[in-house]
Amino acid sequence: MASESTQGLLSRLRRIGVMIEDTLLILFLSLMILLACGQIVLRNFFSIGLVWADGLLQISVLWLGLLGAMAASRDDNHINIDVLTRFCPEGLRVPIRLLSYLFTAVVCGILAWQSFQFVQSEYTFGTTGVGKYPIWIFQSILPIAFGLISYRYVLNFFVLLRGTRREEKDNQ
Amino acid sequence: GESQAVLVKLATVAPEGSLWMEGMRRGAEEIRKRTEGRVQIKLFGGGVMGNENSVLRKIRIGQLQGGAFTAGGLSNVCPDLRLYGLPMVFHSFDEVDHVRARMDKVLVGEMEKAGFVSFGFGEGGFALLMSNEPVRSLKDMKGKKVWIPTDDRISEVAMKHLGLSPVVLPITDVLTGLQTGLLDIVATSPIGAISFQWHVKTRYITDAPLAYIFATLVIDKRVFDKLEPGDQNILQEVMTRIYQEFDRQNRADNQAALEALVKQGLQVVKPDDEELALWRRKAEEVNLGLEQEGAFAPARYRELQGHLADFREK
Amino acid sequence: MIPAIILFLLALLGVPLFVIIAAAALWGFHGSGIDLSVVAIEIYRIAETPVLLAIPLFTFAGYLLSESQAPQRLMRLTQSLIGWLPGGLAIVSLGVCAAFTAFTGASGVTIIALGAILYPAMEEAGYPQKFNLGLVTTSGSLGLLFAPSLPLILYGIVAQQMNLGQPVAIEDLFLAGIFPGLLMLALLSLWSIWSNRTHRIPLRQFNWREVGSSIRTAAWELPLPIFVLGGIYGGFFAVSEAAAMTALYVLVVEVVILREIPLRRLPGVMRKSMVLVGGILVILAVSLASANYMIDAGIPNRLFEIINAHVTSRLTFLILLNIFLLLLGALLDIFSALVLVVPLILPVAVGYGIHPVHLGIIFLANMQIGYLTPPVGLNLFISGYRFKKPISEVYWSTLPFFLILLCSVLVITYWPALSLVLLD
Ligand code: NA
Ligand code: NA
Repeated sequence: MASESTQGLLSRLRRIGVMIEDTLLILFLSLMILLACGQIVLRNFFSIGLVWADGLLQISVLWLGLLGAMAASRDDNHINIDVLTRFCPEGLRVPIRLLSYLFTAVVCGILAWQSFQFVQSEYTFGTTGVGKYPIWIFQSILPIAFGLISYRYVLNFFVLLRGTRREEKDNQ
Repeated sequence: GESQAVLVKLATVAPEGSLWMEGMRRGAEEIRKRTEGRVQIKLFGGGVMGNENSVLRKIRIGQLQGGAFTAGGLSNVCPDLRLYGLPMVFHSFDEVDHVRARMDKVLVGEMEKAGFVSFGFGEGGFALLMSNEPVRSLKDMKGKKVWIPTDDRISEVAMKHLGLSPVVLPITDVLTGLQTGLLDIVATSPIGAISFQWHVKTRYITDAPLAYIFATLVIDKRVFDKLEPGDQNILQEVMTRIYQEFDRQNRADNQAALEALVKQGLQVVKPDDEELALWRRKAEEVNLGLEQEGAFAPARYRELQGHLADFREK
Repeated sequence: MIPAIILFLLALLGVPLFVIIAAAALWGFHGSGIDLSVVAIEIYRIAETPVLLAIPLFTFAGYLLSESQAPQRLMRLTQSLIGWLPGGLAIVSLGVCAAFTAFTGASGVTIIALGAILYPAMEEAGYPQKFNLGLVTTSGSLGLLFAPSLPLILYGIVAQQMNLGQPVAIEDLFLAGIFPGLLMLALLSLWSIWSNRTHRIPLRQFNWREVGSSIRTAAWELPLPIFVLGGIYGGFFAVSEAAAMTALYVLVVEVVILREIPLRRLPGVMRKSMVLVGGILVILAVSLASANYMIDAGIPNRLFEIINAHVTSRLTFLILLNIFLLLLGALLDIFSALVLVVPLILPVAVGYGIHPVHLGIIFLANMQIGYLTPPVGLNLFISGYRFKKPISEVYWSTLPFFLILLCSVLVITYWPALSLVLLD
């Protein structure tokens, strides 16, 4: 069936996405440790100072943060307050979570779009950074990350929706 | 409509309560009165709008309408602003005055081409070396740890050319760095030294002007053009006057700051003439290298050198 | 007003905090007629703020340590040294956290990095879990008053440029912070002893042989502080680089030398710790945007004007100042608050005869507990996230600690000599 092959494709995409994401997280953290410590070693033993290193390190903080936030969205593992749901009647909990997922998807969608415009403007003005590279390359993680977080919450929404429908059917 | 007030939001790193902010506040009030409220200026001090790159971005999207920039902050959009700040181009304040009387207008014109209306330049003084061991020659700097700020292309090229090893750190690390011996030498103006309190951790100051520091106040040309000509004149007149005052006041303040440093026990040392000539020769090689990189227009650099040659002949 | 209430409700219903803050910022900027891409510009400031580099590095180091046997070894060591003292481990934890925060600032990294080690260690030593949660959450901002904390330095720089007629030397601030900081530590230590008086954590006899052998088992972890402090004060690296060296040291010790974390488990630890970092950084990022909206709209100034209108004396100024700063600590990060608010309050304070150095200590002490003020103190969220506890539980666990710190803030505020006694 068509929907099943779509699902197969989606889950394969998801696996590939997760793998890329995890690899990037590990790569960036390793790069960060190497670069930061390498700078100290170079300075103390070889009297070399890397002028671009600080800029690159700070960019990697941004990349790590956003990649980590993407990974946290995979299973809706973000910091939240969540004190009211405890007192909510059982029947309201799923609708509340659906609402929460939808709201998150919309807000992150807006963030993605605005980030895209920001990156586009930096591209137009040809701003450079980390030595002499066009800075938009480093900034491109912003729209990508928020776009994917938004996408993940749309998925979370539909998974939960379908899950509840199936449950209702089973109960009938 | 006609009665619509134009809100001009300006950002700077100068902290609230500083003389700069107080002067700007008075100017803003005068402009408001004289334009009968048609031009309202709102100031954001202390760098709360982010660094100069952020401020520039915010001007582009219209959150801000202008701000005070150092030469470095605007050099991406107006490369010729780098000229005054090149290593050791000026030997004295007299030379600065001579050149600026002739070239300030040119640079203001360049900024206008880049989309900014500038109201002139405010002097920040000469950057001087401060150190724990006296620095009278290049040899005194060899093997020493010299601080340069993150992403400062000119300092980087200069250090490389002099064969020195820079320690690149954020400015917040400098004070403790001087204390622990991570840094031996920093460069800043006397006013800068006192405000960052670096003088507490250094003992010598080298009286040789390394680079001229200055800032400029700009307003987005798109906003300026929207004002009525009368209001434009008022804004131009008041802001230019305030900046000229800053310019004069800062020269006196830097002199006073240097005296205060001496009074607090810092010792002033000076390279001899021969050494100074060597530094200047090296600096010129650096500047030519930057020129080849396209850091500024070669013709403008010649123009500046021409004015300097005229002055030195006299 | 209505959007604010809706957002507040959504927050209580479990919408991720960063989404709530981002939505508030977007809504605010939309109301001010400002292009919404300003939010992206603000988020990008994460890459222009050098102090944040410490967060991923310390978090990773803390995670590695907590996944190894290090907590047990360190617990055994402290027990052998001060097991005879009631509340001993708690007191040591407070001291260690304060020292760590003095070097790293109060970005919550203490909770993630050290909390991850202390929390299980204290549980193993028999302290009640609620107490541990409160202590670890509180310790995230303890130590802000001790040199060389960056906010202290920054206060000095901001105040110095204000032409007050009297100098505000950073050295004086370092001296002034000592007794107020110690007061906080002492009161919290007393509370630790008092609150554990009924839980009979078995006190131990002091035993030299046990001390010797526990030192030997912790022989690789113990040199870490000496390595880092020695590196800083020996001039080998900067305070801002300590995180990188710590991460490297811990990596080498736990993975290469002790091999308690096999190489194949390392990617998993890296990933897990960075997901945590992502959860926190994304909140910091959107908070920059919401703070920028408030700054753009002039909200701190208006708040201050309202409060200033009620000031009639030195005493009312100090009382209202405390309220104002607690509010502010919940709204703004400490660095924005410093550059924004110190220039507002300092002239007024000096007008009422308050010493600028004393004001600095009051300011930072208030900001410090602003991280713990329910409902929106950042440390509360970070702690709940790290230890997977519902936020209401974190509130209750932290409350006694918060009240104690509030008392010490009052003492610090109304007893200037405590701060100023070491100054000439
Ligand atoms: Na901020
Ligand atoms: Na904030």
